[in-house]
Amino acid sequence: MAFSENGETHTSVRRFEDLSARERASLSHVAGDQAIRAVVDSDLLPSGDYGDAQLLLLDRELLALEDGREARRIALSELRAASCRHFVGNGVLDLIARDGRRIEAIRYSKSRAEAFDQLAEQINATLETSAEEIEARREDAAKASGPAEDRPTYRCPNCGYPLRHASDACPKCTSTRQVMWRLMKLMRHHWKLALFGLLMSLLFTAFNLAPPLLIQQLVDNALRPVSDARTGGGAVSERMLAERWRYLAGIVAALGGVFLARSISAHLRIRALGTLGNRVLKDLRSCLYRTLQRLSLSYYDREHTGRIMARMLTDTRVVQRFVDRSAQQILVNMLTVVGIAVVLFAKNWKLAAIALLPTPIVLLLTKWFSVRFRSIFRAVRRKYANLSASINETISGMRVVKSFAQEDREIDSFDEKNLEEYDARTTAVTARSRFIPSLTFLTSLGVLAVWLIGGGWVLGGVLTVGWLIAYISYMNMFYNPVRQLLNLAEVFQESATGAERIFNVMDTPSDVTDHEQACDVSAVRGQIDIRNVSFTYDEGEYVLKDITLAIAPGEMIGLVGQTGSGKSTLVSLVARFYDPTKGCICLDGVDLRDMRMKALRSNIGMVLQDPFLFAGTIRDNIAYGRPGASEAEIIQAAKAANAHEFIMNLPDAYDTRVGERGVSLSGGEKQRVSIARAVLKDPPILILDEATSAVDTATEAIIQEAMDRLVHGRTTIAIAHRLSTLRNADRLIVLDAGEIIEQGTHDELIAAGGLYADLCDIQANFAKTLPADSMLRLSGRRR
Amino acid sequence: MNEITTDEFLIRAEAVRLRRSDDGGVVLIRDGREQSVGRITAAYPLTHPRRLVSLRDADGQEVGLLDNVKDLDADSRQIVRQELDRSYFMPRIMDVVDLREELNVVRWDVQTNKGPRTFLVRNVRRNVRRIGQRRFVIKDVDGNRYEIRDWITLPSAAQKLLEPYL
Ligand SMILES: Nc1ncnc2c1ncn2[C@@H]1O[C@H](COP(=O)(O)OP(=O)(O)O)[C@@H](O)[C@H]1O
Ligand SMILES: [Mg+2]
Repeated sequence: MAFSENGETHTSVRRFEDLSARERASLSHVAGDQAIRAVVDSDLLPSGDYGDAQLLLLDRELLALEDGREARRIALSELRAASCRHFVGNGVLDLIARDGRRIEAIRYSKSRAEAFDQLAEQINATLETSAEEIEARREDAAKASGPAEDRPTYRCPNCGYPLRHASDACPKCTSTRQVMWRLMKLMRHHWKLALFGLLMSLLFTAFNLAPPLLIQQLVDNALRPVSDARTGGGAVSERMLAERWRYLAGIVAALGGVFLARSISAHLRIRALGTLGNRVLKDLRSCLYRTLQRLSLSYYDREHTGRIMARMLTDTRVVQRFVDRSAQQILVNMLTVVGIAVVLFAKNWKLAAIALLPTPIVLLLTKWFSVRFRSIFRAVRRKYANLSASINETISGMRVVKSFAQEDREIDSFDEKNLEEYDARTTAVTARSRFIPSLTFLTSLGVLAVWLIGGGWVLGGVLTVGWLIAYISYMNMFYNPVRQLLNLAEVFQESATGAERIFNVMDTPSDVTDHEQACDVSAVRGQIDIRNVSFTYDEGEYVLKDITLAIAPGEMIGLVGQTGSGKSTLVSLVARFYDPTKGCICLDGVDLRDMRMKALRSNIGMVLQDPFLFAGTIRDNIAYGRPGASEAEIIQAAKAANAHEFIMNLPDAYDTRVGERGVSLSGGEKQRVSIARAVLKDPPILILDEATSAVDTATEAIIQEAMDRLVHGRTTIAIAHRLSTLRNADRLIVLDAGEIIEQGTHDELIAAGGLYADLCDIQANFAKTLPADSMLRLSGRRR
Repeated sequence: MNEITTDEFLIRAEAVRLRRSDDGGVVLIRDGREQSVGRITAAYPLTHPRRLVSLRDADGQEVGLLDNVKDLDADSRQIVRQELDRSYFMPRIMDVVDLREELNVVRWDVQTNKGPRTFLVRNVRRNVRRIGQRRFVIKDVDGNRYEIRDWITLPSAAQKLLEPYL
């Protein structure tokens, strides 16, 4: 199926060159003597009815067409700017006239929102609208309609399949062969195992196909009645009987041998291919994990944890299943089907044709049922997911359920979902109960025909009883492989998409990498120079704008500003989680990009607002940055971080397990562990990003004391919401919307009466409503 | 107990009027004073689309919530309806011509009250949302929304097509 919704429509901005000949002709007609710079198709009329509309950007005018007729024509010279308003399910492109009037140029559904956003940009570029004006219009539009809620959907340029990310592999267009080839290459280290497994599959198939032929021999040669020979005389028949016995024993022995060989080859095959699958799984995971560690933080900004987990766990399993099961199943099935057909047709093509006559019907029936099954099982899965989501939710929210006394309502709602799931399952059982029996009946019709017609031939002496039995046995072996081969394309596609997704991750380049001549740095003094740095996360708005700042070794800088002003972004650049978009950052005069990342980061200690503890013991967590640290050093660090006291109050002290399966520490406790981690690392540069924002004031005092100790003698950049926290800073830098607007000491900034003074005022007023002692502390810090 | 009373934010529909300004904007007339309105949205767009309608001024500040559109005079009502239909555009599906699924994406070919439409829905479980017993809201891959008011009233062929997805 084609994934484009309507064959002929276009969802992007098109230039004149992109138009078809017919469109060119008809549009040139309305455009007159002006050249067509851009065309965007809309699918919605101003009335809200679906229909064809277009907006044309011409040399001197904008032209809106509805159903091919001119609806509006606006001269560019009258316009100041263009902007889009995003509503639910639709949007409007507005033109702002010189006198400030707003003209709604065209309405469109969400499917075209991307294109019209781009067109608005292009119109603004044509009008040479200033950046401030564009920004002001965008804000107006956001106020008038709400922010753009949905991320754009990307389409496969080839078939139109909707993709979540521009970089995703299109499951439909993934070149199965290419991916399979790459998968093969992954197995090249294990080629002996693969070859062995393949060989065993061949042997297994051969041994599996042998018994009916042996049985035919048995029936026709060994079990043929000896009565006709008996009339010839006792001695002869005695001899013949003995011969038959030998023959019988011989064939039974051969059969026994085949059965044994079949089992052994099956055992070897399963083991070899299973091991191969597991090895591929292990290799893939380890490759992927390496990639994940190598990728820069911007990758993690783009991707959800869940998606990454799915790559790691689900997709690798899909590939493993393909290697150890599907691939050889396909091979064995194919060989079996071909082998049986060859044997049957070689012996008697007429009987073979009768025996295999039900094949097309079986194929059709299987196809038909599998379509039906898919929708039934989808319903079952949905109902089941509903059910489990509801269990999950009420259990994690049990406290709320009980406190609002809503147990009965939850029970009712659960019962309802439970019943729905039951109904769906019943439907599935009914369908299954029809499928297999009717299929069996169909194939047994073929068996009946073979019995009847083949039996007649046996009576007529054209066919032996042994062959008749062989035909029947082969028929029973034939249909399962045929049915399984029917799903072949799906199996291939599923595994290829899984593999492709994995390869995609592995192929993702890291934005932040060491270049080849990157140098190691040892004894860092801690001179940080930020020179004309601008930064944007994803080619949108600049989050930092032309920041220049020199920080002397050992200096403590306090970074102040409202939420979203870019403080955290600035320190992530210093730690080189991202590279600046423009400008550079130097440490001791060396550009960070010329420094090996490991070397750089080993010189930086970070304490973040939301401290993260890994699953492990407190000891492990403190020693994370310096695994070789001695026990005494760890305690020393914990003491410096004011963490020792609370750690010693835990029953297992430093051996206490924390994280997922361990005890849960309070926010302040975690923060102190993470400070201890930084103390132990003893870095010349320290970054504190709102390290005390999440804790109460009493705890803050304890942490603050620890931090003062930590800061001593290091180049420090500290970010804090509570300005009092920055009392020790040598210099305060005030950021506003990505720009440095003020800097100086506390007293200088207060005297200047700018944003900092305002912020202080607000906090001081707030402090008045606090108990007296915290006010004392606050004012005490003001020096 | 509550310090905010409903009187503070509710606008009684009988007490106000709305009119269009020259450039298509909306003006609220209350106690003889005029105030331009920038954004009109329903607080419960799915369950009560015509009640508790939030009016905001040009700066995005909420002026108040209209208690019930139905109590406005005819002209004002018309204006609010138009604005609401745009701020929450959700055509109603009247018939389903075809539903086809491939690789977890369902292609819907439908008749709506706004005309024929074809759209793609990924992850049906998340994007077909059931509201009440027989009503469904469907969100397509581009973020458009469509509504099935009451699926029992759809033609029976459409119901059959929809069954596995609802
Ligand atoms: N990972 C990210 N991806 C995209 N935008 C981001 C990211 N982190 C922060 N931003 C944006 O950058 C701006 C500055 O954020 P941040 O540096 O965290 O500010 P602050 O720390 O001063 O509160 C904000 O507008 C925020 O939305
Ligand atoms: Mg921050």
